[in-house]
Amino acid sequence: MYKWVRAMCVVLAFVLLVGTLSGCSQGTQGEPQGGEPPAPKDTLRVALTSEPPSLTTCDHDSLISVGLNLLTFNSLYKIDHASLLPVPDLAYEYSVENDTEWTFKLKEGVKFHNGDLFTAHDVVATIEYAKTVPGSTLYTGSIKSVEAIDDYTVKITTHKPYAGLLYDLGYHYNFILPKSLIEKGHDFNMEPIGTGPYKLVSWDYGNSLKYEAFEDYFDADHKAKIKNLEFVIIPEGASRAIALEAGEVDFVWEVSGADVARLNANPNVNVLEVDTVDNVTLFMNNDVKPFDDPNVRRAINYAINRQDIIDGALNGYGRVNYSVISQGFWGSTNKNAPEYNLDKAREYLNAWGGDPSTINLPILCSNETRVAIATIIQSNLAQLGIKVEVVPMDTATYFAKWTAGDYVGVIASWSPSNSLTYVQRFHSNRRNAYPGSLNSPEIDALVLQAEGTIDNDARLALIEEIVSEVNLLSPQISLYQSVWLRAHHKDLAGIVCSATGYTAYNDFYWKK
Amino acid sequence: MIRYMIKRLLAMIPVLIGITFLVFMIMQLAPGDPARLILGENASPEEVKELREQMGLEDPVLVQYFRYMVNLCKGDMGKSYITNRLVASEVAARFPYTLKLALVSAAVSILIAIPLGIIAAVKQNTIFDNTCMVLSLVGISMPAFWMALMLVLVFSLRLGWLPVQGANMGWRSYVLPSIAIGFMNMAAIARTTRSSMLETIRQDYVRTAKSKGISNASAILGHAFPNALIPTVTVVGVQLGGLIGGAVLTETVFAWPGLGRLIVQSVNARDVPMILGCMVVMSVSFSVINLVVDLLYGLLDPRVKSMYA
Repeated sequence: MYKWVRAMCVVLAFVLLVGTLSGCSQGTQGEPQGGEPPAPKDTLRVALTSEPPSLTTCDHDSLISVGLNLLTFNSLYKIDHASLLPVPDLAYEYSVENDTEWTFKLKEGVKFHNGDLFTAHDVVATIEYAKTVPGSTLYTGSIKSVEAIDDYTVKITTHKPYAGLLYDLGYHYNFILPKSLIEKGHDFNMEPIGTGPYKLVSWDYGNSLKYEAFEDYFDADHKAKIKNLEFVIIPEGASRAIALEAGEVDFVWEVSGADVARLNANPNVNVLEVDTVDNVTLFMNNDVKPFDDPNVRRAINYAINRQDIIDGALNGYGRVNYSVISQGFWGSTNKNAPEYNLDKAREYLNAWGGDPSTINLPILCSNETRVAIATIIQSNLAQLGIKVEVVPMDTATYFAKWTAGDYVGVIASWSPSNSLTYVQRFHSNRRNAYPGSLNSPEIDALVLQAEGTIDNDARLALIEEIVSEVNLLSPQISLYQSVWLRAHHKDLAGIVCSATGYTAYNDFYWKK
Repeated sequence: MIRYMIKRLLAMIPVLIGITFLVFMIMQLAPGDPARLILGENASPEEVKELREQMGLEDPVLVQYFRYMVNLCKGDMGKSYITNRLVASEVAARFPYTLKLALVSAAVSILIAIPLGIIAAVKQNTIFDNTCMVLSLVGISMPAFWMALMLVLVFSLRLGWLPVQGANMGWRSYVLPSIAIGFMNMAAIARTTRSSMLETIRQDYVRTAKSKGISNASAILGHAFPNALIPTVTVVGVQLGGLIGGAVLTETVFAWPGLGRLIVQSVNARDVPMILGCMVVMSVSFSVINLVVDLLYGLLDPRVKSMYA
């Protein structure tokens, strides 16, 4: 018995020693050391944070799903990753008559994954189908009718002059599906057949999604350069980073700020900081007193130190934004945006005339980062005597509360793909749909005018005017623009990450 | 014995009805609208209402529950609100991962903990006993999440022996998750076995057996150990039942595609059919494990077996 006990003690001590020494060693993290063999260079493995709820185009509002939709589908016009402006995709040009009739010329010879040729009839079938799906109004509501003039010409008529049509056509609800499959009631979730650069091969629920390059992809410049694309679902941030270091994945879609220093120290890994248009904002219920008074909102706006938030809650990964609209959009401006200034904050409180200690601002927060942000806001506003209550809750409850208007303050983010969509939310007809919306006839008139102005220069001036006017009214308080962290193997190149959060995996390639 | 088993299996029916009803009602009371979560902030109230009608959420709660139960009796667990996939097929895809991990973890913990518990009891108050109990305390106290991350850092990243995540690498995928879970469970089993053995080895019948001249090992393993096993079997049964529910944190760290992660995702998304589907599978599994544990009591102790007759 003693022999057995001694042997066990020796084995245990050895395991502990090996574990401790290897865990404490600072050896070079060179070539992939993980259990998996090195990735063959015709495969790209990407770590995602969660599983996409759907691979169809029409029944979700998920950033991850849209990212995967972009692999398998195309649209008439798409949002350019760099400029965030609409550029031709399946159409090559358009013309507008009477400000409401848009005629699109379509590219010929484009094939769907099932071999069908893309024509104007697919566009008609797609848009008519999308209009029947709940949740599509924002993207298809402006379209009155769509008709195929011939096989490669399609005419879209809008209810009234509407400048946002090209952007709307670039949203996932309007990604083009083959007419023949729509008519058969095809399940695009199981088999997302489009014209995109990749085809779905398999979906192992909860585990991985595998794609392969579509050889007949129509756009030679953006044809997939890596044959196989695999997404693995790794919910935990530290595990994603370790999987990259161990060579089990090649690209991490979302890196946690806490892992950046370690990844930066690894010579085989590059970390990317992607400046985004995701605007994290403190919304206040402008129907609740005293937040219906612009002086109070402006005082709060001046009193919040954005840099404190970025340093204290975000490990430095954020960009200060004072304007109601994200910087980086066509039409963004900082004009009239209140920058951090406590003296000005006190002036506006005095102009309001009430007792600051009577102001109570409960802020709903849906995650730990937002709790940290609200806590910093709490200390900032305490300098004015304003009381802030931090209210953490789960995402579903948080979402239900603020969409029902059952809130006073809420931290949320918004990242639309264009400035027109952004300013549209300041129209009073969005009052029930969005927090922080306005009820100003002057702003309403400007928004309607911008929506109906097809001429780009004239619309640009209008958007800038709306933003500067809304900055004065401070219906919502921009805190920062997110910096999203991505990381990849050093031999991976051609990486394109847009400011709206999407990644063009088809442009990636291996250096060697 | 067979009559007893049939009775126990039939007793699962009211348990299932009770659990599904309770979960259904709790999810109704919880704030958050699945239709709003699916459509996002951009959808109008009319669109949300339309989708709620399509999903049957506008019907009275009891009607929804009755419809669910009728379909469940036909083997139809419905479709997920979020993914629109069949709940049965998704649960069927995830459950084997959870079951296999639970069984491997249980095996790891039993194979290590029971010998440790026996030796610790036999060598009471020696350095071995104290070391085992300190390790048990560490195992119980150490957060599974931290333990899992440390294992990954050492054995995957530094040594490169085992995969960091996923379940696609055969037996190698099971090693770290089962150690992470098994170590925690091992502690409780070892402590229970030790206490139970300490009580048993002092019984008169063990002393009598020794006085008859049989070896110490035979007296301990042949006479004391089977009688000391009942509390250990109870602990193992409860732990296994818990593992069937999914070791959520361990599954998260190792990106294990099991039921635990699926339930958490579904609760966050208020995906009631998926939650109910998971709960039904977990309840049945838990009930079956309890039944097996009760039957094992009978095998271990003839007095219990005589009660079944």
